[in-house]
Amino acid sequence: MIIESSVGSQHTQEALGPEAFLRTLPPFDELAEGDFAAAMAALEVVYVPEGTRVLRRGGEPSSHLNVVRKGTALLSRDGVAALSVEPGEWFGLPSVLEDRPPEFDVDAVDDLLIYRIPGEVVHELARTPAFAEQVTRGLAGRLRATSGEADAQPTVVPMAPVLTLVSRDLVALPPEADVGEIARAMREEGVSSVVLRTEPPAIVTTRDLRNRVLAEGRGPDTPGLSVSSSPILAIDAGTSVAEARRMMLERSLHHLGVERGGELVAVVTTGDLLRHDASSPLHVQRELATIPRAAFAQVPERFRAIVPRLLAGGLSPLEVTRTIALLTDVLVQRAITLATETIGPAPVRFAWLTLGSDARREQTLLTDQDHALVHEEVDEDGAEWFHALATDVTELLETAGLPRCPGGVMAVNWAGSIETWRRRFERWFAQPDVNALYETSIFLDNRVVAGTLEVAELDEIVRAFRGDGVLLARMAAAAGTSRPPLGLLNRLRSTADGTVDLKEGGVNPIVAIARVLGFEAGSTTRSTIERIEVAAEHGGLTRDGAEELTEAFTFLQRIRLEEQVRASRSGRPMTNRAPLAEMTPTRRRHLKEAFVAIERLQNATIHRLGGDEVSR
Amino acid sequence: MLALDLETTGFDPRAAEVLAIGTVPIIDGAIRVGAATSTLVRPEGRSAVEGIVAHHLRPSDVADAPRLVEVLPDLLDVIEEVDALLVHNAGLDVNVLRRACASLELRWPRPPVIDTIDLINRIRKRERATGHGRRLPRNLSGARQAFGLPPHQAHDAVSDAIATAELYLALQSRLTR
Repeated sequence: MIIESSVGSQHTQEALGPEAFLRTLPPFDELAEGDFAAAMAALEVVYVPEGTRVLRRGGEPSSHLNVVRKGTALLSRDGVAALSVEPGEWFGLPSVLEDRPPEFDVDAVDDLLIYRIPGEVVHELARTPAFAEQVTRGLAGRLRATSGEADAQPTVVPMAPVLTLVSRDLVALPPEADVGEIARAMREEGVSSVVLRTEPPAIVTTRDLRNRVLAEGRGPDTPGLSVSSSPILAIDAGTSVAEARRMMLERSLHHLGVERGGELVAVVTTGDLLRHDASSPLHVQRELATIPRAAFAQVPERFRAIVPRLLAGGLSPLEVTRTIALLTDVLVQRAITLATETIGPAPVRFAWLTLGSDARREQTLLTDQDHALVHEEVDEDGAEWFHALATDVTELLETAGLPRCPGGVMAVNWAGSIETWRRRFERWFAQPDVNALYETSIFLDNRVVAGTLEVAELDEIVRAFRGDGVLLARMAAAAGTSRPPLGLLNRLRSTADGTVDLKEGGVNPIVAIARVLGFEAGSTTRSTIERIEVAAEHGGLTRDGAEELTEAFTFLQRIRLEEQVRASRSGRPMTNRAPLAEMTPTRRRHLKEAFVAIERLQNATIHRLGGDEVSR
Repeated sequence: MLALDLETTGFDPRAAEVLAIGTVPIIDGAIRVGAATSTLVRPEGRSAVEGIVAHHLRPSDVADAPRLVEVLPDLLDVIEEVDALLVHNAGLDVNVLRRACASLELRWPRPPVIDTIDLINRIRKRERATGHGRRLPRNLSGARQAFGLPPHQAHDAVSDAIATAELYLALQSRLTR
């Protein structure tokens, strides 16, 4: 049963006065005592009757930051509902901060009890780091600002010299670089800090860009030197990893310089430390590569232990899912090796394909087995050998915590010669009925994890069909099967148990749209993010649309991973569902915004490809 | 307008003593939470213990508080300035203050008093007239709930004063529709 969600977070139902209520909400929960007291000294409570227009789009700038305590406000544009604002959520912040006309009409859907803070005080608060996060404008920015739990402590290989952590050259710019150049260098190099070649050298981190540039309302031409820190705290290259870690923890540093002969040669980050954790992916990878049959049952425990550490270490959820996929590859390779030790060597060359999220390297902790076999032509004995291989590997993987695919998409059922597979692909693409579209959605996402057989010709079939309008329209229509759980006024719809399905309602729609767009662009990448990127390059998506989808995808994967970690810690079964009542209002709002963006881009894509005119 | 709430040692205005005073101003329809005040008061009698269920204050909580004679003159100065005093169930709190003034030989400024219970009664009467009368609780928590307001921290003078002010805005909005 689907019901309209009216549950706020738990604390919106608790008996709390204005101060206590606001103190539970981001960003107020992170304000320093003095800043919070200043906000509370200016706090006002107003009551707005149902039907009142609180702010008018393009009208007077908002005089206050408004936090809804009770009731629902609706943001809309030209009469089209954009977002509902529910208890614990705010509106009017961009308008009041920049003293510009509101971007939305805001109406009271029912009677509103509003806690509000006057503009002049909001301007003061905007200088605090907690508020600066909220100031980062745009959906993408706000989604990025939502970070996860950080309670796992890495343990480090202690005695190795710190320089072994460093995997890249120093990223340095001339002293006169402005923050725009610095930000671009960070993006291009994929680093979180840039060194300025002053004497002594200075450092600018992403945190500086946020706290000293964005939050201060400064622009990209701000001199980098004016927001930098100098001198850079540095240690000698021969110092042990353990010592470096202790220093970073004690001084809460995210970046630490490494010197050799008195010259700065590198910057290590907390992320670098994490990658050399004793239970790091590298370590587990080595362990899995030689794991005996009897130890497969201990694999789930190893996987569950890694994820929270990676998240806490600041790795993006996409890096985490890539890591899980990588480790799963090693596990599958090991299972195949063990199987061949029992049943003997393969009669002909083959390729073991992994499918679905694992093939896309978007695997979370909750996943089942999806795989298939491609082999050279074989006789009956040969087919039997491959069946034996598939059976044994499936059992081993099941022991390792990967349940069998309920739809039977496994190598025991899906094996065949390259010629068989070629005919299957061509049939699916040429006659895209409901079943064919379903198979397509599964088998387009394939990746070879073991074996020596070349299967690239399957991708050539994909490229051959990229211009097929009928196929694209049908694929687009099929991509509309899963919809974000949005209700009236774009409220979050939860099920009877108060949860939303992040996978069905968010991840699946994005993956499906991306798959079609990638297909259209003739791309054979399997990664959802790369497919979105390719679509933006080929005009299938706008730049903004691509960024919104990417951010929404990253955000949803993060919550999924966090929920799974939380469930496994408290001994509950892992699911893809997130309980709404346990989410902070800010996170609920981000979730809502992500769903709204997904729905919009889903509809736009389906419409553009003619999927809404297809009868399926 | 000033919303006011007292915690007292009992419900009989002739015998009850003040244990705490909470106030919050309402200016231009906005409750100024930052200007709320809260004062504990040490009672003269020994009767404070009896009311602990109602007001949740123990004798030790008020042992070091000022006596009413020390805080009342300032409160009366404020009340003198406001255009109205807003109280939930004014029959008790206003009469307690008036008797206190009389016994301390202070002048009660006789401000116009708005009682949220009176406003509830007017809404109740109106709803009865239109035929869909409902049960409208008169106690503060019950009334707030009936008018869609969130739960509040009851039995704390300043929290009750803010709760009364919020209820007033809700009732006032209802009555002017």
